[in-house]
Amino acid sequence: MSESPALLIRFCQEKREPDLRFFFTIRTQEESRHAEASYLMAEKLGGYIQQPIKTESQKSVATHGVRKMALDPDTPLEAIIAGLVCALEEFAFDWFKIMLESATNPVANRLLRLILRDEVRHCAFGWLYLDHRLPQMSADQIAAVERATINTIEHVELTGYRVPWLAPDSEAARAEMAGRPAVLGSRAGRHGRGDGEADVRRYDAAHPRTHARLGHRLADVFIMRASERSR
Amino acid sequence: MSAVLAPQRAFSGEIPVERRFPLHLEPSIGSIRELYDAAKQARWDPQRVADWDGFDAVRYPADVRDAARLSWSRRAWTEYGGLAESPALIVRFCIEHQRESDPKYFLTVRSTEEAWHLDCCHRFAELLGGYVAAPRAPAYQALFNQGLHREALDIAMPLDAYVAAHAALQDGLDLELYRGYRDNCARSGRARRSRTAGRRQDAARRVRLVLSRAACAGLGRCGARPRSVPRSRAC
Repeated sequence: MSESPALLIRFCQEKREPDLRFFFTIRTQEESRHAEASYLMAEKLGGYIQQPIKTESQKSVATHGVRKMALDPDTPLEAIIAGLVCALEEFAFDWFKIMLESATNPVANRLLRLILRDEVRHCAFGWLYLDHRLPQMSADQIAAVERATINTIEHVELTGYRVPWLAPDSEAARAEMAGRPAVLGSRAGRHGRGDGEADVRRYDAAHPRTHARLGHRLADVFIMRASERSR
Repeated sequence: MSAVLAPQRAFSGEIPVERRFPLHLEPSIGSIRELYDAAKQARWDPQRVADWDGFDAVRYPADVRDAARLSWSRRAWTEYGGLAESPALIVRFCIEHQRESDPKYFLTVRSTEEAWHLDCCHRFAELLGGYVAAPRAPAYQALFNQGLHREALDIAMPLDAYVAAHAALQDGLDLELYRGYRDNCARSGRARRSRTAGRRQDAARRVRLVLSRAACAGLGRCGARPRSVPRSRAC
């Protein structure tokens, strides 16, 4: 909700293609309704919790310097898009899909389905923009995008941003995991290596040009790091 | 034209540092929450809101078309400022410690509405002979490049002061201007009225937002109408 507008400011500052600016106003609004819907559901379930149980876990779910990067002219915009939009939104898509498949409550299922619908568009935006930009970029610039993407995966997703069990083992991570459903809180969850490999094939099928040019498989990085953590 | 038209806005170079938690998402300013709900209900699509294909520009003399083309281009230039200012305000509300959730939610819709306004102005200018991408005089261009988004993010600018000065006052003027445009084009047919109606409602909602915020922040005594704007102002 606060990262999308920072990127929108950057698009305006750099006079990027108008389509980006228009789309990101909608994306900002969609992130807002995700927050609102999640809050309303949490309230129905006994009350919204205003912060992680342990202070140490707050860093995992806070901003990760995305806003700062978005407003920093020295950080290439394509690198931010690749890391924040392509990589993280892909993971968001996958997590929401897992939750959707698991949610039997009709209200929860409906909310997750609607959020997932938005996330699909958010993912598509990132990949479509990289498809548009990569042919115009040098090998060095593409390498910077790769580094930024891997960096984002390691320093955001793998710090427990969405699922605490991906965070390095700590008292705070264990406290966050306590009481969560097995499908979300377990290291033996459904996103083992087997499912991840299927994801890689799906990503490649969906975005062959971009994946080929990036030279890295985002999901591969994720699976490798997550497997290391699991061991 | 003199270069003094370009306002020099100071920027301290610093934006506030966020302390996100506890993250308040509960409704706390009822009037603004109502505006947010109203904004969600009143969404409209620039592509479908008007009969663009049915607009026949050649019905109008060339000089009228050119004037209208420039006029709608100029509106696009002013609307464009909001495209960066609204997200800057969202960011500022988000990074200020323990700010209410309602303005954050509302501003996300406002940001979308600014995009729709811009889209409309651009489409109409195109139909009238082509969008004009820049003012003729370079000095005049600076007027449209005020960098309000920097001021909204600047730690040296208190958020409530920014909201009162820029959002309440400027959006109030915007509302009155669009009311004037509507009255002026009332004789010109339903199609034109429908184009301005959505934008007028958006402007009215925004004015109510900022005045409500100003009242909550104790700024009502600064001249802004406290609590809320009467419904009749919402067109």
